[in-house]
Amino acid sequence: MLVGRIASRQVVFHACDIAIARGVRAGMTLAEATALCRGLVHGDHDPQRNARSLQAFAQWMIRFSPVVEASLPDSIYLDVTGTERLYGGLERLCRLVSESLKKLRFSTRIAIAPTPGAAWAVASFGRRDRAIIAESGVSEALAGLSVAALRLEPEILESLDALGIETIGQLMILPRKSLPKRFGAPLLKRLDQALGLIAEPLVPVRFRRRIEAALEFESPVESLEMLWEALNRLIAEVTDALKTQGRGAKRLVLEFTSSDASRTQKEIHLSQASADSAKLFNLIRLASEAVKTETGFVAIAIKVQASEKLTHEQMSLLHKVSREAERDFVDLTERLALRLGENAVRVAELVPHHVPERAFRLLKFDSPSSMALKSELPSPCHKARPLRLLPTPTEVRCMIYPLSDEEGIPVSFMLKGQSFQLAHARGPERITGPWCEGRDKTREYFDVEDKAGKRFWLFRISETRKWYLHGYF
Amino acid sequence: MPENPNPKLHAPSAEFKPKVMPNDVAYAELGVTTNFSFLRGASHADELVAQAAALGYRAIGITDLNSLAGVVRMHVAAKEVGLKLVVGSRLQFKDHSDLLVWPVDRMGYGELCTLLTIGKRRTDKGECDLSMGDFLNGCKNVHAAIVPGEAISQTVAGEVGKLKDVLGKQLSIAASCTYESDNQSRLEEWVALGRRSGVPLLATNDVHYHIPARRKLQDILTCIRHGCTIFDAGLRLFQNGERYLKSPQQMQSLFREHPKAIERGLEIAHDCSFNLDQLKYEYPDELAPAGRTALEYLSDLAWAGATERYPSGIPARIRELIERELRLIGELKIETYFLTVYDLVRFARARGILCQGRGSAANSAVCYCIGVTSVDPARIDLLFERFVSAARNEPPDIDIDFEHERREEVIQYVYEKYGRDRAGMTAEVITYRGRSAVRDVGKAMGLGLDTVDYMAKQLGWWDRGTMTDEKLHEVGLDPSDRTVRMVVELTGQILGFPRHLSQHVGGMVMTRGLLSELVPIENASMPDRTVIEWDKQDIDDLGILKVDILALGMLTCIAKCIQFINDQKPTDAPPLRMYSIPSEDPAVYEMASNADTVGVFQIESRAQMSMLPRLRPNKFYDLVIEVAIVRPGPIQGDMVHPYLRRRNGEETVVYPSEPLRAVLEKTLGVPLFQEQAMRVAMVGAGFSAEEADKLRRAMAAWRRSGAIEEFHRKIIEGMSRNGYSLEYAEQCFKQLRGFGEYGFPESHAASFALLVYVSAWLKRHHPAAFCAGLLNSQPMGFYAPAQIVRDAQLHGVAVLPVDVNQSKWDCTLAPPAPAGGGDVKPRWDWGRTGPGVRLGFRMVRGLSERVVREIVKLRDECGGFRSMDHFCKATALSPAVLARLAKADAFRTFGLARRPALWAVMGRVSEPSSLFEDMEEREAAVLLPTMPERQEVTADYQTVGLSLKRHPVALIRADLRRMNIIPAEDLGHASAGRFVKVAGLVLIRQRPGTASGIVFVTLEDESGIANLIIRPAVFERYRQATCHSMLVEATGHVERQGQVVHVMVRKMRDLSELLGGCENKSRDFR
Repeated sequence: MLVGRIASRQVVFHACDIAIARGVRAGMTLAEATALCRGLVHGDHDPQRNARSLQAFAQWMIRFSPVVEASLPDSIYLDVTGTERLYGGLERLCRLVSESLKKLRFSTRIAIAPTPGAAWAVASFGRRDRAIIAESGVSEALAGLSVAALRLEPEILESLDALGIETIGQLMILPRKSLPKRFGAPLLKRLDQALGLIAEPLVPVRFRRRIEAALEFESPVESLEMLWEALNRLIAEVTDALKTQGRGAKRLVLEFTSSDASRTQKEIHLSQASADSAKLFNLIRLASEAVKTETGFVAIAIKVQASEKLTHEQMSLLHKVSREAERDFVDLTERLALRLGENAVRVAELVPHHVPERAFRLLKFDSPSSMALKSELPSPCHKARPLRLLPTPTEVRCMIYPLSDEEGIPVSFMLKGQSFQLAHARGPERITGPWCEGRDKTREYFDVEDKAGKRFWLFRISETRKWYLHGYF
Repeated sequence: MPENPNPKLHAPSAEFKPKVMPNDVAYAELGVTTNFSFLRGASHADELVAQAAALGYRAIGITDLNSLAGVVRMHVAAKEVGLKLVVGSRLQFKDHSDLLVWPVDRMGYGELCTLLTIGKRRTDKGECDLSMGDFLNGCKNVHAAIVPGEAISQTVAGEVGKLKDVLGKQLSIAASCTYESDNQSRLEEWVALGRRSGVPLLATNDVHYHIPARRKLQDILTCIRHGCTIFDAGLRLFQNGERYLKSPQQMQSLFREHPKAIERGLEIAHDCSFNLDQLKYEYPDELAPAGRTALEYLSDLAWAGATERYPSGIPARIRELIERELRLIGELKIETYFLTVYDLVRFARARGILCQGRGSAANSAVCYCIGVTSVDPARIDLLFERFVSAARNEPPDIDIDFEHERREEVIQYVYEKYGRDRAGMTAEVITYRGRSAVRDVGKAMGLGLDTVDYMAKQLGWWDRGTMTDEKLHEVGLDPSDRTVRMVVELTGQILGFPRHLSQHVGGMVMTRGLLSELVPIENASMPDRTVIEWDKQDIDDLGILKVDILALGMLTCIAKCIQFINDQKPTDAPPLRMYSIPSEDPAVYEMASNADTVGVFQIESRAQMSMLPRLRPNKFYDLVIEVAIVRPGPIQGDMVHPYLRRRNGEETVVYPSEPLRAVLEKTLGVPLFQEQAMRVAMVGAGFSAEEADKLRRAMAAWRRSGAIEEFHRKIIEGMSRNGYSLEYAEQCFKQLRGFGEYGFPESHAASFALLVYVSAWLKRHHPAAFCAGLLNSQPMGFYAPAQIVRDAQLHGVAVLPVDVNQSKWDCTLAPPAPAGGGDVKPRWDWGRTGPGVRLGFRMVRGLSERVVREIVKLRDECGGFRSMDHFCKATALSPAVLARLAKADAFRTFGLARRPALWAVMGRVSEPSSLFEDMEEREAAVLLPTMPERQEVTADYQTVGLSLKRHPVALIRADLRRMNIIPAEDLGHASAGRFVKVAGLVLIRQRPGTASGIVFVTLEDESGIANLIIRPAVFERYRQATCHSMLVEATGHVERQGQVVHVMVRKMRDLSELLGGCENKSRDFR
């Protein structure tokens, strides 16, 4: 079941047959649906993802006919004119499509008709899952179907329903002239499209070939130079293909096959899409350095798993230098990430939080522009905070004055056997831990300076009276 | 535990028992934020006061943000413990740092109220928009302290300088050592600033809660205020938990370098001698004409009214009553109150707005004579002194009900007469109750919305008791989980916290002087309403007059009904008035005894209907009892059955003593009214009038269980001392406790009973006018229009459909026509000879009144529409409106059914007829499929909410018969215990709090009504079918109780599909 959000309510958009049988309907709230149907599994309704998968599915359907249209939310049109001979009759084509889709675990309804409109009508509202309508049988096939089979807007369907016009047959006997005035132009247009009185060309999906390149060696290759040579050829192949499509690679997979037939894969993520062979080579070289083999490789391949349209940036006159610097920086971070691992390159972000070690967080480096944005968050920076914060506070032994006073001021402390005599102590500033996480002790921070002029950030936990060093100014 | 003299003060929380400390250090904390700074302060007024007293504070101040809403509570609490309170407020400016402001005297208090009123009236409800200019203009007699904030900037220094010029010695700098950065360096900055400008420092701890443990709650409140969770609240929370009431020693130590700052607080507290007790409430004085005192004028009005009310001479008893009441009114000096009420009633009368007074003082002879009530003191024996006792140092209580559609006129009259600055609506403090508390706390603790809703639903009974681990387990929550534990703990703390101010249903306050100098006034969320910051309890505590101006749908209905009747009368006949309706008409009582009361005020509910045949009322006082007896109070106190048995002579009426006989005689020895409960306590257990009044308050504070238990011991002891048996005493107490859940005062019952009688009389003698009046006053009452119409048809009234050539906006009376309609077989025939009812356009969903008035005007001008073409051209309505009318089947007058009419109006252009209209080519006639009857009925329900053609269930009767479902009328002769299946539209679902989870459902089919009783277990199993279906099948066995038949349900099934989209709106009541 798919669930979307309307205002603050979670509403059912689509449901599977089992859920529908239990009374779940589109438009219900999630709570109502779960009440009807225990153990209901639901995912988020994502129209964009839906559209993307339908497009991909349409791509796949090109194997049956070169002209395929994807129509939201759940229809695919194929122009099968002239393919009878190829498949040995429409019957067989129909069966072939239906069986291949069944293997993909899709339930389908298929109709072949002289017009897309009629095909949709029969497929959606016909009695059988598969139907073939002959040139002469269109009007007859449509007459018995509900007017909803004409792909009409809900308002028109409502008006027709109010007048008691349920079937296309009833609609067809009404005077044509009186229809547009009452229902608007789309009604006649849809009717005529279905009947073939006006043409309805399909809008076919563009066929896009997958970009990949592979090379098999005659004997296992061990030398790095030879590998790089081979990679260079593959990269040239891939970048050519990318350039003809005007796209750049965003994610690549390198695949190495050893002579024992074991495979090693290496993924490369790019911060910015690129079709620049030199850049790709550098990255790929870095990535392949880590790949080890005992016996040598018998084959290598590069597959572009994700690509983006390349935007041709306008090169501004003045910012050229900084742009280049930025690109160099990005290149550097990409190379560092490949060498040291995905998580090695981080960027710090300020977080509004009272507890010092919570007042920032480390993020995966994304791109320089996102970094700029993150540092603008507010923070308690007008307060005394040390430049260096220890990852974890270190316990120290501390002398206070007056000795007997629980709220005494620190006068000296011991760290790693070394004693620090303090000249000044400012504080305390009290910060209470996040009690919602079960940490509700209060720290009393002091900004202290020893006689040599070194400044430290010490704190005492009010409840335990223990002292810690938390940073250096 | 000592008894709790003020119900507003809740019991001190067990979590903290303050120890009394030696108070050799003198300290006064003046900057205190209570929980009336909504979602900021985390302690109740009384908690703060009790803690301050325990710590030995010399005084405590209150400075809620831009508000004085909590001062009365603080005042009452402080008075109780004998602690000095400094009233004040924290003002926020758009162009200046915050100021803490404490009025020095009454004058300064008035200035502060006025300033807040200005700021609040300028902007939306709950907001305050002030600039420093406003403050400098208005506030002179105050002490103020500037709150400089974290870092001292140049601006603050400038501000201090400027304020110093105006306030002189009355300005301080509020310094607080809350350890948010280094205290000492902050203090030094402030000291330096003060020294530069010659302004002293004032020590305060910016208190937000009374004890450190409340800090978590304060954090949660902050989260609720910002709509965030505790995990992402970040810097919006205070950095630590220092803002509690610290001991004077602690404060002294914090300010050890600056002891003057501590002294400054004591100085201010000493200077500010203002106390809320100095507020003198004065009644408006313009009510009596020049030359007459208010009492003389009231007396004139009463005697003049008496002469009018009793044309054949004032009976001696009444004369005596009036004299006694006037004397008492004079003694208590409450005559102006009566004149205020009289003024409202007089205004309403002049405007033709029906109204009726209700409440303890309303049913007095004086009120009857001046027209506040129509309950004749001769007909009912109510003792005035009982309600307006000298001991109760409170203004008397009169609520006035007005026609619900016209009440706003009365409210606006009050504003106009006294002015916005002299009259205002009472506030209602919306507090956290079980569900809202769980919901808000859960959300702030970061629980998912679904979990929070689930918890809130499961734990709806939270406010009645504590949350134990077992209970948590029961609802599937892990009590060892930290978050769950925190939610439970914090929810317990937040219960009873005020969340925001709303407006009271109708309480209005009017003053002689400026109300805005008494209490700040703010805008309500409703347009044209202004509300004061105090609620009913605050006003009572200060002894301020309030009149409740309430809305009552039945009065609207009665007014409209009487109008219909008078319109039908010949012009020379005397018009019918509510008070001229003949009393004690046996036909009315007979109708009521047969439970034939659909639409009648109060006694139309199912519980009332099943009581009527058992009680068989035959005089006015029986109706008073009927109204009072079907209430949770008497039901839980187990008084219903004893009363019925005694009334039917099955049990002898015995009185435990002669004195109690006098109290209980009129209700056959069974206490049914709140007043009787009080009298039993006084006469039986020797309570003083004052104690009895406390008892009354305890009973009124319903659901606050515990309060009434304090009286348990007292009653038992008192009664055994007076020689009553322990058994009888316990029984009395049980009955009293019943009233805690919903006692009904006799005076209210009497006023309501009058409306019961009037509406029943109208229904009995003018069924068509009554039906039309009800329809025109919707929404009101228990029944939907479909049932009201059906009931009229059952009484022989002809009901005619909406018709473009006949209907008006309202439903109207039509000339007498053949009875019935559709498939209704009239059961009574007294409506047969009278007029019929023509449904008005208001019944058609989605039509605007303006459009309809236009149609009716054009129709009157052209003498009726001749054809569809004529109608469309004359009215030039938009296609959407035309389609709506066609779908509502309103064009039958042109011989057009729904579908042809819709076809005819579709595609018409909404322009006035053009020159070329005749040249438009004629369209070929079309033949549309005829609409099947079932769809016609369905369409009727969808467009008009009812059908005059057939009952929807009648259309599927054949199907139902095949399913062995019997018509509802067959239940009448089904033997008890028989297993039956019935089906019908769901009219009403009810789950009364008193019935331990039993759900009552009323079904209607074409033959009548079936009453279902569903036990909780059955309900849980069939919740979906019971709550979400329009047509439902119920299987169960028949139960009989006299004339009343129920089906005890075993199984419910949703049959809505059979109807195919027929909409029926049931009315659900909890």
